[in-house]
Amino acid sequence: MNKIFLDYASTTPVKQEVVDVMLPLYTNISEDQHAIDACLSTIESLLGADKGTLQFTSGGTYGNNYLIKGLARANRARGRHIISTKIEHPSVHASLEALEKEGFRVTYLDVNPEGFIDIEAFERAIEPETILASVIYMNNEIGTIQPIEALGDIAHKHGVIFHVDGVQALGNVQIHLKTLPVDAMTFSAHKIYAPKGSGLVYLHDAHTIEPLIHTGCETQNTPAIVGFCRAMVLAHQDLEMGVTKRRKLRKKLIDGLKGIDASLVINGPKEEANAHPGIMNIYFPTMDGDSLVILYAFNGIAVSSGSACSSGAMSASPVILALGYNEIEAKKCLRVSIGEMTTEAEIDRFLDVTLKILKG
Amino acid sequence: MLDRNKVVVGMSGGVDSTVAAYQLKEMGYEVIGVNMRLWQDDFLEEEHFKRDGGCCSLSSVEDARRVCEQIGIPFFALDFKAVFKETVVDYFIESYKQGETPNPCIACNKHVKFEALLEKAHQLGAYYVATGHYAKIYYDESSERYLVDTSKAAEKDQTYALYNLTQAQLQHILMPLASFESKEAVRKIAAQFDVQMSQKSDSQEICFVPDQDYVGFLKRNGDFEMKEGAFYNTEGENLGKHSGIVNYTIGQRKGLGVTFGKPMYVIDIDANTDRVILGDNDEVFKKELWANQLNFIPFDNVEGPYKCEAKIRYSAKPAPCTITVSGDTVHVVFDTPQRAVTPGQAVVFYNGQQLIGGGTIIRK
Repeated sequence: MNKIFLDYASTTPVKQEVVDVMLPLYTNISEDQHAIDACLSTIESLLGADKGTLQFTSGGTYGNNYLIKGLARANRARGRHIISTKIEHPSVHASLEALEKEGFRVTYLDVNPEGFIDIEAFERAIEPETILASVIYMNNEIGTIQPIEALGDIAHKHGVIFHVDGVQALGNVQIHLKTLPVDAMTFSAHKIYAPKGSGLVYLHDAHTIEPLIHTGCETQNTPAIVGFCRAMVLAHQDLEMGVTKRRKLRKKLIDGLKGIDASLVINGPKEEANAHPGIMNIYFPTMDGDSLVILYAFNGIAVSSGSACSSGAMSASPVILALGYNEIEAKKCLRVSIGEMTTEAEIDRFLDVTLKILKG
Repeated sequence: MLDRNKVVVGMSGGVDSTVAAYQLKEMGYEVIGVNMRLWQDDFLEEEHFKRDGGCCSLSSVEDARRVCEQIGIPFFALDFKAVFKETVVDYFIESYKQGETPNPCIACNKHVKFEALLEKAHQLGAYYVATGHYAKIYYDESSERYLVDTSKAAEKDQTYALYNLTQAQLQHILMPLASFESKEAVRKIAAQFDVQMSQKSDSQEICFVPDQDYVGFLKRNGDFEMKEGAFYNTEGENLGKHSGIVNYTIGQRKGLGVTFGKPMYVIDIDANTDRVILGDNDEVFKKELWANQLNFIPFDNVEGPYKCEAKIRYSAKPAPCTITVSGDTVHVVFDTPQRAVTPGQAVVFYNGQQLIGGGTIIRK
């Protein structure tokens, strides 16, 4: 039985072209800084970033911690209020909780049943004390795309620094940092077919930031950076075509599910254009998400039911709860995410297995 | 369609559940190992995770995962926090508020292991859920009922905590340790696996209060006042102040915080007036008790006075008695008085080896 991977929002396999550029760097050590500078300049142009605004990191969790804590701490003299949402990635929530212990106040904005924050509520939440707002661009569980430009404009109108978690957005939308009203943004390599343990942050040079760790002099992970850069180039070749293809597969999957059982509910945005092209979240009235993950796994299909704790057990996701589901309902949700390697045949197999699971 | 060859085994990573899973695999069942993640007291969580003991600790997940790999069965850690909190922890707290002494293991078996886990097993297509309990479940053709017998490993028998199971539950439960005559025999089989042989806490402890300080637990989680009250004797005389009713249990002598010149025991607790009633040794013994929330296994209900034996706590020896059911309450009259009849605990009925049923002891 061929295994089918439908959990691309968790992580992605590294592309062979990426491995190919990385491997020689493990055995031949030479001109590291040159290679890193070349990558920076390539990525600057792909993301429309000014020179000196990008830094490589060890991944998305590090990037979110660094930007949120670093910006808050560097600006604490101006105020101690931060605005965020109830549907952030756990690394954002954890960073904000750590800041709350340091005396910062955080407003966590509600979302509507489609997962959108209300732009007016965002503006109303801004106080004279507010120094930072942090909003996830494309949600990792339900795929909702927030109106980043509108939110950024409002933040800037009030002198609030605007951070965006762009981990799931990278490779799924053209990002042009020079024109986006965003001050800081987090990216990760392993969501775009590059190795784990690598990431990138954008920080507009107008802002000072406190370092998270004090390195003195640090040797960078050149192979991972070069791999990340290669993956970034590949992601931006035919970006629109890739997005269109994934949207088509996503629609096929959603239509197929509705055909199998009309009582299934697709969580997240109703409008396809407002949703991440590869992420779907489905509410199954009669099944728990963790049971489904197991049953799909028995059938050779990897999917995810969202938030797993250290034991690997899946509890009700805060993101799903924020949509208005209760604890029991929230556990009946399943995330399916498709990626560049996903095929129509795989979607067909997924639908066949779903039919078998639900209808015996 | 549920598969009668498929079974979900609750795995703690300890000796008993390991051998249960292994036996079922050997019998040819398709076995799925599940470690149940249960609600934990925030305060204790960090401390508890450092310990090896207790079936809820994080290390138990890794123990269970490793053992399942060795047995060659799939393993999953699944979240049962919400149902455990609601049906076991909240009940535990409420019971103390009423001046009773709860039995959370019985509640966990009824609502979590053999209801929530069973439902999960059904979702996974498995007809059965299995555990490493020491008890024998079998189908009796003549009465067309599922019956339960005590374990041949008498010192390990766990039927006291199983009296509550219904026919609908029993038909889906397997307890493969039934065939073992001693814990030693189970250990021998477990020895081939990488199991923590001795460090697991016994299941008689309260797993969500691993430090045994249930008063501290109630203070943190109980959301109720620890009101001081007074000791009284059976004549209604005030004998001095006490530190709050949750600190006391029926039959208790030590730790009353007051001395009386002769041994005094807690013989009753009144949650409404915060009174703790003390008496001498004779007064700790009661010849009769009442219980409700009844369940019977070989029949739906008892007709007329019924002679059997009863246990009023996990570790007690069954004592001969006569029971009479009226409405939803049973009246139990023992042949000889029993020490420390404790409201909130279960009274469990036996007929020889056979588990008859039981109920929750109440104040009359």
